[in-house]
Amino acid sequence: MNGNALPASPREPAGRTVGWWAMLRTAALLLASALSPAAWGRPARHAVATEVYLHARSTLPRFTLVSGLFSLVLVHIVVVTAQSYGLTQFALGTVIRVLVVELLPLAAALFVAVQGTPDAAPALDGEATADEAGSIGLPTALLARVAARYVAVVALTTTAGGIALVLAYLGVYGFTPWGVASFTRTVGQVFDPIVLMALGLKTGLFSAAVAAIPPACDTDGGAGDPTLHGTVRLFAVLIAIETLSLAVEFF
Amino acid sequence: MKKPTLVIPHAEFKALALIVVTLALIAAFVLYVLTARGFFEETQRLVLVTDNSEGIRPGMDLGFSGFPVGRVNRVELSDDGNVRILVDVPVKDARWLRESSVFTLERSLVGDTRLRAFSAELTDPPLADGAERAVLRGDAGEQIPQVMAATKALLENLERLTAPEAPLASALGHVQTVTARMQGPHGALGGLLGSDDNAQKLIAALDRSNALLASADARLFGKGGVIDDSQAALAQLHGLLREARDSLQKADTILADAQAIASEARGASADLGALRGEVEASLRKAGRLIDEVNRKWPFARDTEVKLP
Repeated sequence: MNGNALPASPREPAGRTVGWWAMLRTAALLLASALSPAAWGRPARHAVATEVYLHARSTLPRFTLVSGLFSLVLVHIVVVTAQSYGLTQFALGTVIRVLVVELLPLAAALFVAVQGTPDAAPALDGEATADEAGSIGLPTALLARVAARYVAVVALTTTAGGIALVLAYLGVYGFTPWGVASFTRTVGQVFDPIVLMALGLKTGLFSAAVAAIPPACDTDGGAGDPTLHGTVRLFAVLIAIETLSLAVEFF
Repeated sequence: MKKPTLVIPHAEFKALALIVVTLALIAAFVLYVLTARGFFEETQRLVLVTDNSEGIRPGMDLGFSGFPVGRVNRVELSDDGNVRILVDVPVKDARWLRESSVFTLERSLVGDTRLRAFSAELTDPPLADGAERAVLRGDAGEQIPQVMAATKALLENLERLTAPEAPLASALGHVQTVTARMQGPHGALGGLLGSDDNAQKLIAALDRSNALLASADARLFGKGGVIDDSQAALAQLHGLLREARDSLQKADTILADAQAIASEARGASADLGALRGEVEASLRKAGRLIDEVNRKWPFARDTEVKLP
Protein backbone atom coordinates (compact mmCIF):
# COMPACT_ATOMS: atom_id res chain seq x y z
CA MET A 1 0.00 0.00 0.00
CA ASN A 2 1.47 3.41 -0.94
CA GLY A 3 1.87 6.45 1.25
CA ASN A 4 -1.42 7.85 0.24
CA ALA A 5 -3.40 4.88 1.38
CA LEU A 6 -5.84 5.18 4.20
CA PRO A 7 -4.18 5.10 7.63
CA ALA A 8 -4.38 2.06 9.83
CA SER A 9 -6.68 2.17 12.78
CA PRO A 10 -4.93 3.98 15.58
CA ARG A 11 -5.62 2.62 19.04
CA GLU A 12 -3.69 5.07 21.11
CA PRO A 13 -4.28 5.55 24.83
CA ALA A 14 -4.55 9.30 24.05
CA GLY A 15 -7.93 8.46 22.55
CA ARG A 16 -10.07 11.12 20.96
CA THR A 17 -7.42 13.79 20.39
CA VAL A 18 -5.63 11.46 18.11
CA GLY A 19 -8.92 10.38 16.72
CA TRP A 20 -9.79 13.94 15.79
CA TRP A 21 -6.52 14.59 14.11
CA ALA A 22 -6.55 11.25 12.39
CA MET A 23 -10.10 11.86 11.32
CA LEU A 24 -9.29 15.26 9.84
CA ARG A 25 -6.23 13.88 8.12
CA THR A 26 -8.17 11.02 6.71
CA ALA A 27 -10.95 13.29 5.57
CA ALA A 28 -8.46 15.58 3.85
CA LEU A 29 -6.87 12.61 2.12
CA LEU A 30 -10.26 11.41 1.00
CA LEU A 31 -11.13 14.76 -0.51
CA ALA A 32 -7.76 15.13 -2.14
CA SER A 33 -8.07 11.66 -3.55
CA ALA A 34 -11.53 12.37 -4.85
CA LEU A 35 -10.25 15.46 -6.62
CA SER A 36 -7.38 13.62 -8.18
CA PRO A 37 -7.96 12.71 -11.85
CA ALA A 38 -6.11 9.45 -11.34
CA ALA A 39 -8.94 8.22 -9.15
CA TRP A 40 -11.49 8.61 -11.88
CA GLY A 41 -11.11 5.51 -13.96
CA ARG A 42 -14.00 4.04 -15.87
CA PRO A 43 -15.14 1.71 -13.06
CA ALA A 44 -14.89 4.59 -10.63
CA ARG A 45 -17.01 6.85 -12.81
CA HIS A 46 -19.71 4.22 -13.08
CA ALA A 47 -19.66 3.59 -9.36
CA VAL A 48 -19.79 7.30 -8.62
CA ALA A 49 -22.69 7.80 -11.02
CA THR A 50 -24.57 4.95 -9.39
CA GLU A 51 -23.99 6.28 -5.92
CA VAL A 52 -24.90 9.82 -6.94
CA TYR A 53 -28.12 8.57 -8.46
CA LEU A 54 -28.96 6.44 -5.44
CA HIS A 55 -28.27 9.19 -2.96
CA ALA A 56 -30.25 11.71 -4.99
CA ARG A 57 -33.13 9.32 -5.40
CA SER A 58 -33.31 8.68 -1.70
CA THR A 59 -32.84 12.23 -0.47
CA LEU A 60 -33.94 14.74 -3.06
CA PRO A 61 -37.70 14.12 -3.22
CA ARG A 62 -38.16 13.83 0.51
CA PHE A 63 -35.98 16.75 1.43
CA THR A 64 -37.56 18.93 -1.27
CA LEU A 65 -40.99 18.17 0.12
CA VAL A 66 -40.03 18.67 3.75
CA SER A 67 -38.06 21.84 3.08
CA GLY A 68 -40.85 23.18 0.91
CA LEU A 69 -43.39 22.69 3.65
CA PHE A 70 -41.08 24.17 6.25
CA SER A 71 -40.33 27.15 4.01
CA LEU A 72 -44.02 27.74 3.40
CA VAL A 73 -44.81 27.74 7.10
CA LEU A 74 -41.89 29.95 7.98
CA VAL A 75 -42.67 32.46 5.23
CA HIS A 76 -46.27 32.69 6.35
CA ILE A 77 -45.34 33.16 10.00
CA VAL A 78 -42.76 35.84 9.28
CA VAL A 79 -44.96 37.74 6.83
CA VAL A 80 -48.02 37.73 9.08
CA THR A 81 -45.98 38.73 12.12
CA ALA A 82 -44.26 41.54 10.22
CA GLN A 83 -47.60 42.81 8.93
CA SER A 84 -49.05 42.90 12.42
CA TYR A 85 -46.16 45.07 13.59
CA GLY A 86 -46.10 47.25 10.48
CA LEU A 87 -42.72 45.92 9.37
CA THR A 88 -43.78 44.37 6.09
CA GLN A 89 -40.86 45.92 4.24
CA PHE A 90 -38.47 43.80 6.27
CA ALA A 91 -40.34 40.50 5.98
CA LEU A 92 -39.03 39.39 2.61
CA GLY A 93 -35.40 40.14 3.36
CA THR A 94 -35.66 38.34 6.68
CA VAL A 95 -37.20 35.26 5.10
CA ILE A 96 -34.60 35.04 2.37
CA ARG A 97 -31.73 35.56 4.74
CA VAL A 98 -32.96 33.08 7.31
CA LEU A 99 -34.05 30.36 4.94
CA VAL A 100 -31.81 30.44 1.91
CA VAL A 101 -28.61 31.69 3.50
CA GLU A 102 -28.71 30.06 6.94
CA LEU A 103 -31.19 27.28 7.50
CA LEU A 104 -31.45 25.34 4.27
CA PRO A 105 -27.73 24.63 3.71
CA LEU A 106 -27.40 23.35 7.25
CA ALA A 107 -30.62 21.35 6.97
CA ALA A 108 -29.46 19.76 3.72
CA ALA A 109 -26.14 18.77 5.25
CA LEU A 110 -27.82 17.31 8.30
CA PHE A 111 -30.35 15.47 6.20
CA VAL A 112 -27.69 13.80 4.09
CA ALA A 113 -25.62 13.04 7.17
CA VAL A 114 -28.51 11.49 9.02
CA GLN A 115 -29.84 9.73 5.95
CA GLY A 116 -26.67 7.72 5.69
CA THR A 117 -26.02 5.31 2.87
CA PRO A 118 -28.89 4.12 0.69
CA ASP A 119 -29.66 0.44 1.13
CA ALA A 120 -28.85 -0.39 -2.48
CA ALA A 121 -25.44 1.18 -2.37
CA PRO A 122 -22.45 -1.13 -2.23
CA ALA A 123 -20.80 -1.58 1.16
CA LEU A 124 -17.35 -0.28 1.88
CA ASP A 125 -14.92 -3.12 2.07
CA GLY A 126 -11.96 -1.05 3.29
CA GLU A 127 -9.62 -2.60 0.80
CA ALA A 128 -7.70 -0.54 -1.62
CA THR A 129 -8.08 -1.31 -5.25
CA ALA A 130 -4.92 -1.00 -7.25
CA ASP A 131 -6.13 -1.35 -10.81
CA GLU A 132 -3.82 0.98 -12.61
CA ALA A 133 -0.38 2.32 -12.12
CA GLY A 134 -0.55 5.56 -10.26
CA SER A 135 -3.84 4.79 -8.56
CA ILE A 136 -3.92 5.98 -5.05
CA GLY A 137 -5.53 2.98 -3.53
CA LEU A 138 -8.83 4.64 -2.67
CA PRO A 139 -11.60 2.07 -2.66
CA THR A 140 -13.99 2.75 -5.48
CA ALA A 141 -17.02 2.44 -3.28
CA LEU A 142 -15.53 4.91 -0.83
CA LEU A 143 -14.76 7.37 -3.60
CA ALA A 144 -18.27 6.96 -4.93
CA ARG A 145 -19.76 7.54 -1.52
CA VAL A 146 -17.72 10.66 -0.92
CA ALA A 147 -18.61 12.10 -4.30
CA ALA A 148 -22.27 11.14 -3.99
CA ARG A 149 -22.68 12.73 -0.60
CA TYR A 150 -20.94 15.87 -1.79
CA VAL A 151 -23.21 16.15 -4.83
CA ALA A 152 -26.25 15.32 -2.70
CA VAL A 153 -25.66 18.18 -0.26
CA VAL A 154 -25.07 20.68 -3.07
CA ALA A 155 -28.11 19.47 -5.01
CA LEU A 156 -30.38 19.55 -1.97
CA THR A 157 -29.22 23.01 -0.98
CA THR A 158 -29.67 24.39 -4.48
CA THR A 159 -33.08 22.86 -5.01
CA ALA A 160 -34.43 23.76 -1.61
CA GLY A 161 -33.07 27.28 -1.89
CA GLY A 162 -34.75 27.80 -5.25
CA ILE A 163 -38.04 26.50 -3.96
CA ALA A 164 -37.75 28.70 -0.88
CA LEU A 165 -37.25 31.79 -3.04
CA VAL A 166 -40.31 30.95 -5.10
CA LEU A 167 -42.39 30.35 -1.99
CA ALA A 168 -41.14 33.58 -0.45
CA TYR A 169 -42.27 35.53 -3.52
CA LEU A 170 -45.65 33.84 -3.53
CA GLY A 171 -46.05 34.32 0.21
CA VAL A 172 -45.40 38.06 0.01
CA TYR A 173 -46.82 39.04 -3.36
CA GLY A 174 -49.13 36.19 -4.27
CA PHE A 175 -49.70 34.87 -7.76
CA THR A 176 -48.96 38.12 -9.54
CA PRO A 177 -46.02 39.21 -11.65
CA TRP A 178 -46.06 42.81 -10.43
CA GLY A 179 -43.86 42.17 -7.46
CA VAL A 180 -40.94 40.79 -9.45
CA ALA A 181 -39.07 44.09 -9.61
CA SER A 182 -39.37 44.71 -5.90
CA PHE A 183 -38.54 41.09 -5.11
CA THR A 184 -35.48 41.21 -7.34
CA ARG A 185 -34.29 44.36 -5.64
CA THR A 186 -34.66 42.76 -2.23
CA VAL A 187 -32.74 39.68 -3.37
CA GLY A 188 -30.00 41.94 -4.65
CA GLN A 189 -29.84 43.72 -1.31
CA VAL A 190 -29.69 40.47 0.66
CA PHE A 191 -27.11 38.73 -1.53
CA ASP A 192 -24.27 41.14 -1.48
CA PRO A 193 -20.81 39.78 -2.42
CA ILE A 194 -19.93 38.87 1.17
CA VAL A 195 -23.14 36.93 1.67
CA LEU A 196 -22.80 35.16 -1.67
CA MET A 197 -19.25 34.18 -0.89
CA ALA A 198 -20.22 33.01 2.59
CA LEU A 199 -23.08 30.96 1.19
CA GLY A 200 -20.89 29.34 -1.44
CA LEU A 201 -18.13 28.56 1.03
CA LYS A 202 -20.55 27.29 3.62
CA THR A 203 -22.25 24.96 1.17
CA GLY A 204 -18.92 23.68 -0.10
CA LEU A 205 -17.58 23.10 3.39
CA PHE A 206 -20.80 21.45 4.54
CA SER A 207 -20.69 19.15 1.53
CA ALA A 208 -17.03 18.30 2.11
CA ALA A 209 -17.67 17.60 5.79
CA VAL A 210 -20.67 15.40 5.15
CA ALA A 211 -18.84 13.63 2.37
CA ALA A 212 -15.53 12.98 4.09
CA ILE A 213 -15.98 12.88 7.86
CA PRO A 214 -18.28 9.85 8.30
CA PRO A 215 -16.08 7.62 6.13
CA ALA A 216 -13.01 9.02 7.87
CA CYS A 217 -14.52 8.23 11.25
CA ASP A 218 -15.43 4.80 10.10
CA THR A 219 -11.80 4.08 9.46
CA ASP A 220 -10.11 5.83 12.39
CA GLY A 221 -11.03 3.07 14.88
CA GLY A 222 -11.95 5.46 17.73
CA ALA A 223 -13.71 4.25 20.82
CA GLY A 224 -17.44 3.58 20.68
CA ASP A 225 -19.80 2.99 17.78
CA PRO A 226 -18.06 4.33 14.68
CA THR A 227 -21.25 5.49 13.04
CA LEU A 228 -22.43 7.38 16.11
CA HIS A 229 -18.92 8.63 16.70
CA GLY A 230 -18.69 9.91 13.19
CA THR A 231 -22.10 11.51 13.33
CA VAL A 232 -21.31 13.38 16.52
CA ARG A 233 -18.03 14.63 15.11
CA LEU A 234 -19.72 15.58 11.90
CA PHE A 235 -22.29 17.64 13.80
CA ALA A 236 -19.52 19.38 15.68
CA VAL A 237 -17.74 20.21 12.44
CA LEU A 238 -20.96 21.47 10.88
CA ILE A 239 -21.58 23.76 13.83
CA ALA A 240 -18.04 25.05 13.61
CA ILE A 241 -18.49 25.81 9.92
CA GLU A 242 -21.79 27.57 10.59
CA THR A 243 -20.23 29.68 13.30
CA LEU A 244 -17.37 30.59 11.00
CA SER A 245 -19.75 31.63 8.22
CA LEU A 246 -21.78 33.78 10.60
CA ALA A 247 -18.62 35.46 11.75
CA VAL A 248 -17.63 36.14 8.15
CA GLU A 249 -21.07 37.54 7.29
CA PHE A 250 -21.67 39.73 10.29
CA PHE A 251 -18.24 40.76 11.44
CA MET B 1 -19.68 -11.39 2.07
CA LYS B 2 -20.23 -8.54 -0.30
CA LYS B 3 -23.68 -7.04 -0.72
CA PRO B 4 -24.92 -7.36 -4.29
CA THR B 5 -24.71 -3.97 -6.02
CA LEU B 6 -27.81 -2.65 -7.68
CA VAL B 7 -27.29 -1.97 -11.39
CA ILE B 8 -28.78 1.35 -12.42
CA PRO B 9 -29.40 1.70 -16.15
CA HIS B 10 -27.84 4.85 -17.61
CA ALA B 11 -26.52 5.74 -14.18
CA GLU B 12 -23.80 7.96 -15.57
CA PHE B 13 -26.24 9.92 -17.70
CA LYS B 14 -28.62 10.39 -14.82
CA ALA B 15 -25.89 11.48 -12.47
CA LEU B 16 -24.49 13.82 -15.06
CA ALA B 17 -27.94 15.26 -15.64
CA LEU B 18 -28.36 15.86 -11.93
CA ILE B 19 -25.00 17.58 -11.73
CA VAL B 20 -25.70 19.66 -14.81
CA VAL B 21 -29.11 20.73 -13.52
CA THR B 22 -27.61 21.62 -10.16
CA LEU B 23 -24.85 23.63 -11.77
CA ALA B 24 -27.38 25.32 -14.05
CA LEU B 25 -29.49 26.30 -11.05
CA ILE B 26 -26.45 27.71 -9.33
CA ALA B 27 -25.44 29.66 -12.44
CA ALA B 28 -28.97 30.96 -12.90
CA PHE B 29 -29.07 32.07 -9.30
CA VAL B 30 -25.76 33.87 -9.60
CA LEU B 31 -26.93 35.61 -12.79
CA TYR B 32 -30.19 36.59 -11.08
CA VAL B 33 -28.33 38.06 -8.14
CA LEU B 34 -26.01 39.99 -10.45
CA THR B 35 -29.04 41.34 -12.29
CA ALA B 36 -30.68 42.19 -9.01
CA ARG B 37 -27.61 44.11 -7.95
CA GLY B 38 -27.61 46.06 -11.21
CA PHE B 39 -24.44 44.55 -12.59
CA PHE B 40 -25.76 44.62 -16.15
CA GLU B 41 -27.49 48.02 -15.90
CA GLU B 42 -26.14 51.17 -17.41
CA THR B 43 -25.85 53.70 -14.65
CA GLN B 44 -24.73 57.24 -13.98
CA ARG B 45 -23.03 58.50 -10.89
CA LEU B 46 -24.51 60.83 -8.31
CA VAL B 47 -22.41 62.06 -5.40
CA LEU B 48 -24.20 63.12 -2.22
CA VAL B 49 -22.22 65.09 0.33
CA THR B 50 -23.04 65.14 4.03
CA ASP B 51 -21.28 65.52 7.36
CA ASN B 52 -22.36 62.20 8.88
CA SER B 53 -22.96 58.95 7.07
CA GLU B 54 -24.10 56.92 10.04
CA GLY B 55 -26.60 54.33 8.87
CA ILE B 56 -25.59 54.49 5.22
CA ARG B 57 -24.26 51.29 3.76
CA PRO B 58 -23.49 50.12 0.24
CA GLY B 59 -26.50 48.59 -1.43
CA MET B 60 -28.96 51.00 0.19
CA ASP B 61 -31.63 52.43 -2.11
CA LEU B 62 -32.15 56.05 -3.12
CA GLY B 63 -35.92 56.49 -3.14
CA PHE B 64 -38.08 58.77 -5.21
CA SER B 65 -41.80 58.83 -4.41
CA GLY B 66 -41.43 55.46 -2.73
CA PHE B 67 -39.65 53.82 -5.66
CA PRO B 68 -35.95 52.96 -5.65
CA VAL B 69 -34.18 54.95 -8.37
CA GLY B 70 -30.58 54.44 -7.30
CA ARG B 71 -28.28 52.36 -5.16
CA VAL B 72 -25.42 53.38 -2.90
CA ASN B 73 -22.22 52.04 -4.33
CA ARG B 74 -19.66 53.36 -1.91
CA VAL B 75 -19.28 55.67 1.08
CA GLU B 76 -16.03 57.51 1.49
CA LEU B 77 -14.44 60.48 3.26
CA SER B 78 -13.41 63.52 1.28
CA ASP B 79 -10.30 65.59 1.88
CA ASP B 80 -12.27 68.19 3.82
CA GLY B 81 -13.68 65.63 6.21
CA ASN B 82 -17.12 65.43 4.68
CA VAL B 83 -18.72 62.19 3.65
CA ARG B 84 -19.26 61.41 0.00
CA ILE B 85 -21.98 58.94 -0.80
CA LEU B 86 -21.55 57.54 -4.30
CA VAL B 87 -24.87 56.52 -5.75
CA ASP B 88 -25.37 54.61 -8.98
CA VAL B 89 -28.55 55.67 -10.75
CA PRO B 90 -29.79 53.55 -13.67
CA VAL B 91 -30.01 55.64 -16.79
CA LYS B 92 -33.69 54.76 -17.21
CA ASP B 93 -34.44 56.20 -13.77
CA ALA B 94 -32.16 59.23 -14.05
CA ARG B 95 -35.00 61.24 -15.61
CA TRP B 96 -36.59 61.62 -12.17
CA LEU B 97 -33.59 63.53 -10.87
CA ARG B 98 -33.28 67.16 -11.90
CA GLU B 99 -30.91 70.02 -11.25
CA SER B 100 -33.35 71.37 -8.66
CA SER B 101 -33.85 68.03 -6.91
CA VAL B 102 -33.44 67.94 -3.16
CA PHE B 103 -31.90 64.96 -1.37
CA THR B 104 -32.56 64.01 2.24
CA LEU B 105 -31.06 61.54 4.67
CA GLU B 106 -33.53 60.45 7.34
CA ARG B 107 -32.50 58.49 10.35
CA SER B 108 -35.24 57.56 12.82
CA LEU B 109 -35.03 55.92 16.20
CA VAL B 110 -36.51 52.65 14.94
CA GLY B 111 -36.00 51.39 11.46
CA ASP B 112 -33.54 51.83 8.66
CA THR B 113 -31.88 55.00 7.44
CA ARG B 114 -33.46 56.36 4.27
CA LEU B 115 -32.09 58.29 1.36
CA ARG B 116 -34.73 60.17 -0.58
CA ALA B 117 -34.88 62.46 -3.57
CA PHE B 118 -37.51 65.11 -4.19
CA SER B 119 -37.99 66.83 -7.53
CA ALA B 120 -40.45 69.70 -7.50
CA GLU B 121 -40.03 70.67 -11.15
CA LEU B 122 -39.69 67.77 -13.55
CA THR B 123 -39.26 70.27 -16.40
CA ASP B 124 -35.94 71.45 -15.04
CA PRO B 125 -32.73 70.24 -16.71
CA PRO B 126 -31.83 66.64 -15.80
CA LEU B 127 -29.10 65.98 -13.30
CA ALA B 128 -25.75 65.49 -14.98
CA ASP B 129 -23.59 62.40 -14.58
CA GLY B 130 -21.20 62.81 -11.65
CA ALA B 131 -23.16 65.70 -10.15
CA GLU B 132 -22.47 66.54 -6.50
CA ARG B 133 -25.29 67.54 -4.22
CA ALA B 134 -25.55 68.23 -0.52
CA VAL B 135 -27.88 66.05 1.52
CA LEU B 136 -30.28 67.46 4.09
CA ARG B 137 -29.84 65.31 7.12
CA GLY B 138 -32.44 64.56 9.81
CA ASP B 139 -31.50 62.41 12.71
CA ALA B 140 -33.99 61.71 15.47
CA GLY B 141 -31.24 60.22 17.55
CA GLU B 142 -29.36 63.50 17.71
CA GLN B 143 -32.25 65.04 19.60
CA ILE B 144 -32.08 62.39 22.28
CA PRO B 145 -29.43 64.12 24.44
CA GLN B 146 -31.43 67.34 24.37
CA VAL B 147 -34.61 65.46 25.19
CA MET B 148 -32.80 63.66 27.98
CA ALA B 149 -31.51 66.94 29.40
CA ALA B 150 -34.97 68.49 29.22
CA THR B 151 -36.48 65.38 30.78
CA LYS B 152 -33.94 65.49 33.55
CA ALA B 153 -34.77 69.13 34.28
CA LEU B 154 -38.45 68.30 34.20
CA LEU B 155 -37.95 65.44 36.62
CA GLU B 156 -36.01 67.68 38.97
CA ASN B 157 -38.79 70.25 38.89
CA LEU B 158 -41.32 67.53 39.44
CA GLU B 159 -39.34 66.27 42.38
CA ARG B 160 -39.27 69.73 43.89
CA LEU B 161 -42.97 70.13 43.35
CA THR B 162 -43.80 66.82 44.95
CA ALA B 163 -41.40 67.13 47.90
CA PRO B 164 -43.09 66.77 51.33
CA GLU B 165 -42.40 70.40 52.24
CA ALA B 166 -43.40 71.73 48.83
CA PRO B 167 -46.40 74.07 48.45
CA LEU B 168 -48.13 71.47 46.35
CA ALA B 169 -48.10 69.03 49.26
CA SER B 170 -49.61 71.59 51.60
CA ALA B 171 -52.14 72.56 48.94
CA LEU B 172 -53.07 68.92 48.55
CA GLY B 173 -53.39 68.72 52.32
CA HIS B 174 -55.79 71.61 52.25
CA VAL B 175 -57.70 69.98 49.46
CA GLN B 176 -57.85 66.86 51.55
CA THR B 177 -59.23 68.85 54.47
CA VAL B 178 -61.84 70.45 52.26
CA THR B 179 -62.83 67.16 50.72
CA ALA B 180 -63.00 65.60 54.17
CA ARG B 181 -65.37 68.35 55.16
CA MET B 182 -67.31 67.69 52.01
CA GLN B 183 -67.94 64.23 53.27
CA GLY B 184 -69.90 65.70 56.21
CA PRO B 185 -73.67 65.78 56.50
CA HIS B 186 -73.88 68.99 54.51
CA GLY B 187 -71.55 67.87 51.73
CA ALA B 188 -69.81 70.49 49.60
CA LEU B 189 -71.49 73.31 51.51
CA GLY B 190 -69.74 72.34 54.72
CA GLY B 191 -66.44 72.22 52.86
CA LEU B 192 -66.93 75.63 51.31
CA LEU B 193 -68.04 77.36 54.50
CA GLY B 194 -65.52 75.75 56.76
CA SER B 195 -67.73 73.89 59.19
CA ASP B 196 -71.10 72.22 59.53
CA ASP B 197 -72.30 75.01 61.91
CA ASN B 198 -71.81 77.65 59.26
CA ALA B 199 -73.55 75.45 56.76
CA GLN B 200 -76.42 75.00 59.15
CA LYS B 201 -76.67 78.76 59.65
CA LEU B 202 -76.70 79.30 55.93
CA ILE B 203 -79.40 76.73 55.55
CA ALA B 204 -81.42 78.37 58.35
CA ALA B 205 -80.97 81.73 56.67
CA LEU B 206 -82.11 80.20 53.44
CA ASP B 207 -85.15 78.75 55.20
CA ARG B 208 -86.00 82.11 56.67
CA SER B 209 -85.52 83.76 53.36
CA ASN B 210 -87.82 81.21 51.83
CA ALA B 211 -90.47 81.88 54.48
CA LEU B 212 -90.04 85.62 53.98
CA LEU B 213 -90.36 85.22 50.30
CA ALA B 214 -93.44 83.09 50.77
CA SER B 215 -95.12 85.63 52.99
CA ALA B 216 -93.99 88.45 50.75
CA ASP B 217 -95.37 86.52 47.89
CA ALA B 218 -98.68 86.06 49.61
CA ARG B 219 -98.70 89.67 50.66
CA LEU B 220 -97.85 90.94 47.29
CA PHE B 221 -99.45 88.46 44.99
CA GLY B 222 -102.09 86.83 47.17
CA LYS B 223 -105.77 87.50 47.03
CA GLY B 224 -106.33 91.07 48.32
CA GLY B 225 -102.61 91.75 48.28
CA VAL B 226 -100.65 94.77 47.27
CA ILE B 227 -100.76 93.89 43.66
CA ASP B 228 -104.51 93.53 43.70
CA ASP B 229 -104.84 96.90 45.46
CA SER B 230 -102.42 98.41 43.11
CA GLN B 231 -104.37 97.08 40.26
CA ALA B 232 -107.60 98.48 41.72
CA ALA B 233 -105.89 101.80 42.34
CA LEU B 234 -104.63 101.74 38.86
CA ALA B 235 -108.12 101.03 37.62
CA GLN B 236 -109.46 103.92 39.62
CA LEU B 237 -106.68 106.14 38.51
CA HIS B 238 -107.46 105.13 35.03
CA GLY B 239 -111.08 106.05 35.56
CA LEU B 240 -110.10 109.35 37.14
CA LEU B 241 -107.79 110.06 34.35
CA ARG B 242 -110.53 109.25 31.93
CA GLU B 243 -112.91 111.59 33.76
CA ALA B 244 -110.23 114.20 33.96
CA ARG B 245 -109.74 113.84 30.28
CA ASP B 246 -113.45 114.23 29.72
CA SER B 247 -113.51 117.24 32.02
CA LEU B 248 -110.60 118.73 30.29
CA GLN B 249 -112.31 118.13 27.02
CA LYS B 250 -115.35 119.93 28.37
CA ALA B 251 -113.22 122.70 29.79
CA ASP B 252 -111.59 122.92 26.50
CA THR B 253 -114.98 123.28 24.90
CA ILE B 254 -115.98 125.86 27.50
CA LEU B 255 -112.79 127.70 27.00
CA ALA B 256 -113.42 127.66 23.33
CA ASP B 257 -116.85 129.00 23.95
CA ALA B 258 -115.45 131.51 26.43
CA GLN B 259 -112.92 132.46 23.90
CA ALA B 260 -115.66 132.96 21.42
CA ILE B 261 -117.70 134.86 23.98
CA ALA B 262 -114.66 136.84 24.89
CA SER B 263 -114.06 137.64 21.33
CA GLU B 264 -117.67 138.62 20.94
CA ALA B 265 -117.52 140.51 24.20
CA ARG B 266 -114.41 142.21 22.95
CA GLY B 267 -116.46 143.25 19.99
CA ALA B 268 -119.37 144.00 22.14
CA SER B 269 -117.26 145.92 24.57
CA ALA B 270 -115.95 147.88 21.74
CA ASP B 271 -119.62 148.58 20.89
CA LEU B 272 -120.27 148.89 24.54
CA GLY B 273 -117.84 151.71 24.84
CA ALA B 274 -119.53 153.49 22.05
CA LEU B 275 -122.85 152.69 23.60
CA ARG B 276 -121.66 153.91 26.93
CA GLY B 277 -120.52 157.06 25.39
CA GLU B 278 -123.83 157.47 23.75
CA VAL B 279 -125.58 156.63 26.99
CA GLU B 280 -123.45 159.13 28.84
CA ALA B 281 -124.19 161.65 26.21
CA SER B 282 -127.83 160.91 26.45
CA LEU B 283 -127.67 161.11 30.21
CA ARG B 284 -125.92 164.41 29.98
CA LYS B 285 -128.50 165.59 27.64
CA ALA B 286 -131.23 164.34 29.90
CA GLY B 287 -129.58 166.00 32.84
CA ARG B 288 -129.38 169.29 31.05
CA LEU B 289 -132.89 168.88 29.98
CA ILE B 290 -133.98 168.23 33.50
CA ASP B 291 -132.02 171.17 34.73
CA GLU B 292 -133.60 173.31 32.09
CA VAL B 293 -136.88 172.08 33.02
CA ASN B 294 -136.26 172.72 36.64
CA ARG B 295 -135.15 176.24 35.94
CA LYS B 296 -138.01 176.98 33.93
CA TRP B 297 -140.61 175.12 35.98
CA PRO B 298 -142.22 176.83 39.03
CA PHE B 299 -141.43 173.81 40.97
CA ALA B 300 -137.87 174.90 40.80
CA ARG B 301 -135.97 174.24 43.97
CA ASP B 302 -132.73 175.10 45.34
CA THR B 303 -130.60 172.24 44.60
CA GLU B 304 -127.84 173.20 46.79
CA VAL B 305 -127.23 170.85 49.50
CA LYS B 306 -126.40 172.36 52.84
CA LEU B 307 -124.53 170.36 55.21
CA PRO B 308 -125.25 170.45 58.93
